[in-house]
Amino acid sequence: MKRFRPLLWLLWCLIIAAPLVFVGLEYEWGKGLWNATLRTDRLRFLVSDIPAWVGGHWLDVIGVLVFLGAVVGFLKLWQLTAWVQWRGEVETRTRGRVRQAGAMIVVILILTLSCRHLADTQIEWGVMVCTYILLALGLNLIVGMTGLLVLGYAGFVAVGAYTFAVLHQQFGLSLWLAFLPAALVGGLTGFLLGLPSLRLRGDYLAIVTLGFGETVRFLIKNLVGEQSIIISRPARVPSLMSENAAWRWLFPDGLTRLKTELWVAVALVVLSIWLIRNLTHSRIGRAWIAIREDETAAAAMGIPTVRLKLLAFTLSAIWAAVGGVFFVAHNTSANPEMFGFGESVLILSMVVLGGMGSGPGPIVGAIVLYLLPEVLRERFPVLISYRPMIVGGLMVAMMIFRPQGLVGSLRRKIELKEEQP
Amino acid sequence: MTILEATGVSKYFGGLKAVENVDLTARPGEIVSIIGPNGAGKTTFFNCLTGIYPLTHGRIRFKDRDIANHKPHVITRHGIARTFQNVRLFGEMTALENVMVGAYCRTRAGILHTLVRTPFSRREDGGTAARALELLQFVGLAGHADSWARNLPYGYQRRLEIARALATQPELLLLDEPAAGMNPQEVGAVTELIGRIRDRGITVILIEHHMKVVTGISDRIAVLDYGEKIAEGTPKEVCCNPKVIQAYLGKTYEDAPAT
Amino acid sequence: MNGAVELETIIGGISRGAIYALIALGYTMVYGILGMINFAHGEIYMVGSFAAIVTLAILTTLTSASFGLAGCLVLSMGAAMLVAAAFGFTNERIAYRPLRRSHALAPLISAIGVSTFLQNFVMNAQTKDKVDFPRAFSDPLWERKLEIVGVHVALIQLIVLAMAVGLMVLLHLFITRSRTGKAMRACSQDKTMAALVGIPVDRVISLTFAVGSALAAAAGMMFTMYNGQTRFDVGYTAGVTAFTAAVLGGIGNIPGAMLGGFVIGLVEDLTAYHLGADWKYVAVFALLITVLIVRPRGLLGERVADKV
Repeated sequence: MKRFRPLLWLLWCLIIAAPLVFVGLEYEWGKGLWNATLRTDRLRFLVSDIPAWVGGHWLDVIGVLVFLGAVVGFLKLWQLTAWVQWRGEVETRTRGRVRQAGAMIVVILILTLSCRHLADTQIEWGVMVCTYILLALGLNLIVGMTGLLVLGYAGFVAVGAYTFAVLHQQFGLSLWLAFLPAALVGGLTGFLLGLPSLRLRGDYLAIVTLGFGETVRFLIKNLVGEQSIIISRPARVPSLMSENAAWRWLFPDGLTRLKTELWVAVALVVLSIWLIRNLTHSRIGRAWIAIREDETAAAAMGIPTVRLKLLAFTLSAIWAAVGGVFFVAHNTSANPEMFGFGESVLILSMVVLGGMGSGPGPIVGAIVLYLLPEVLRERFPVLISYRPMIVGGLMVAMMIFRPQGLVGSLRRKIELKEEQP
Repeated sequence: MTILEATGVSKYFGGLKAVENVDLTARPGEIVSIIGPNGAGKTTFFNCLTGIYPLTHGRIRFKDRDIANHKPHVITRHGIARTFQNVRLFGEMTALENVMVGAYCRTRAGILHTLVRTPFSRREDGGTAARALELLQFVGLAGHADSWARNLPYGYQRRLEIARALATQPELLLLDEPAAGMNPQEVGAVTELIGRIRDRGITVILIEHHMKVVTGISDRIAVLDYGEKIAEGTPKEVCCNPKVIQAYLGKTYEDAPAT
Repeated sequence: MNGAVELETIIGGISRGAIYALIALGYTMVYGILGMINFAHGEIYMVGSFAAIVTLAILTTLTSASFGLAGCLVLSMGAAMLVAAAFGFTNERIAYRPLRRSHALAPLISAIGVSTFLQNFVMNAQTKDKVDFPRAFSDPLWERKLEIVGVHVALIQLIVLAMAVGLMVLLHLFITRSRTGKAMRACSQDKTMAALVGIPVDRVISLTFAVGSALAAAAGMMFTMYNGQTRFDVGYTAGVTAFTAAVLGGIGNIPGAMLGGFVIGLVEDLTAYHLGADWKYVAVFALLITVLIVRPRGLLGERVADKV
């Protein structure tokens, strides 16, 4: 056996390499003759395109790396100063207030400036990044804090989005009024799905939610219809124009619909961050982390584990639903195909990349995984179509090399084998 | 007057009788020790008391309330707390947060309060933190409140676990080998700590192998062997009980039946 | 409707169920030995279906199908199984083995990563569209109808059923009779103890993945032949369906997975027949939820007590 080992490895290499060779194999059936042509030119992307691009744009590459480093570094610093410290809650509260006010001023300043100077495409990126941040923050509640893997998150997003879309179609409901019913329906869905599945082991939950995501799509297709539902103008975020002098000075071009959307999106994100921060530092947040760390011990310390998991699940679904409403309003139409498994995985990978269970982690994840490919799209169009592939590989790599994520609060755990009772 | 009254507690795993027909009572303010060879079913008995395992049969009354087969968190709320044989802290939390988790069942701020951090929840949280700090001080970890639980030395982790259990404001505390793996000096400190816990008016049931701890502070000792209680009494009585000696040391030559 | 059509539906359901059973076996074997759900298993099945088609394309281009219909089919199935086994093996080596001792979510997330990667790899490397199974190979099998007590059964249904059952019997023999099979069972009972008595646990785990993947690939090939086409995302639905089968039978339990597969096939085809094809997925999902509520350990599974 030992003697054949190199041979076996060779065989293995051949088999694994085989699909690579067939990249772009084109075949045509019928007419009694089958033609298989090898389109190796598509391999070029792997062999020459990337190196050539990197060679030609090394400054860009360095820029991107520096940008990434800056984002992570900034958040790390922020986290070190603010996130963990909280023993003297009473003493640091004033300091926290000052910090919060400062952060708000910076955010408002950036927003105002960007409304003056940024092009529409860039504002569009901003709105989408905020949407993804919102969704990632919600998912982090359940995946990061409570330690339960949810794979059908897009299903909850779809529930919220379609609650809005259908209410709009039937009663002409506008965005603002839709948040509440969407959150209710979303939360209820999460609650009902969690009720049977949260009593079980974590991986069962993962697959139940996986199935749920797909089922929601099937149900929408069959009950609502496969066609897109258009959200008419009055139901969307309005544009804010005014002849007021101060307004003209602040926003020389007025606030177009897109720019108002950016403000709304940022407001939603800021609100979410505040709420989630409150949760993390409350008895409920601590109970969630305790459940993640050791469910049996948590139960023995008087924590009703099932009820709290259900709570996290419901809240996370509510966040998804709210995000879904906003997303649909921004996108102006809802279609079942927008909420597929790929979307769930993308949001999950944002959480994983940024750092499960960390406060700013999902924000970093969303920025890196949404903004970066979009910004680089013009220079390197392949990146968008290969994003899912990269995301997949990245998730494996993160788990192996840096399970705590880029920002990271979850430390690498070296779990000992559980002892016999 | 008893605070805990367990009668006929049995737990079978398939054909294995891990605990068989064990009776145990504890009076308020008492320290009761459970000893016995490894695998005698001591921890399983604890797991039955705290609701982690459902009973095969038997009755458990705590403060004249039937708690057999209740959910673990309900039992904790009634006033029974425990530590684990293999320390089970929440590693990704600080020592202080670990203790604060214990206070969950004694606090009330609901989801709406915590979401917007109302003055009520803020006050309650401040109280929890203050009490947790006080408990850390009580077990001698005052300087380590902000250390990550997983980075604490083993002996500290054991004491932190006791503090966490105390944070649930128990009337009965179950300690599963609190002195395991400690040096004589630390053993002394733990013994002293258990005494102070009793002085707070908390009843303690203790599983322990260190005979010094057991004989030093126990009011009564129960001995388990092969899942059954073979003896119970004051430390002196138990130490002289031939059955106990037999369980620990095996049969002497003279006692062995002629075969 | 009349009884004959109903019976035909049932037979169709059973032969599809046999395919699901093959995929479910992979889930159950890995679960039995590692205690984790291999989310990438559905993708292995999909890779298998593509590998089979590519092999057929190569065979017909290079050799003008000179092996004959049966020969080509067997060869393509063999190739698919080989490729999938290599993929499963690699998957375990790269994505699961380094994570065996890390926190509970890590292997699951890693598996999702692998699954996304494979799906999009095939999509980018092959096509976004459906790929047809060469009709020249599948049509003759559909056209030959056998009549058994008044019920029409296509030859392909019998062949699929026979091949699937054959593979299951082989697997059963392998696990119960062979030395390696015994090692597998030992590992699923207690890996530490197995290692102590000299069983190369890592190799056994690799082998489990390889065998499970090969079975999935065989299922992929047969399903494509049966359905007529495949696409890069078929692994997703097939994966959830087969997982439901595994849970239904009792996860970790090999006869359970076989039983579950047949039941799921029947449920699917009967729902499709009575309510419409769109609803079969919903029916499967409803079944999964029901099983989890009513009997989480499945039909043949044993109750497992958590250790404290």
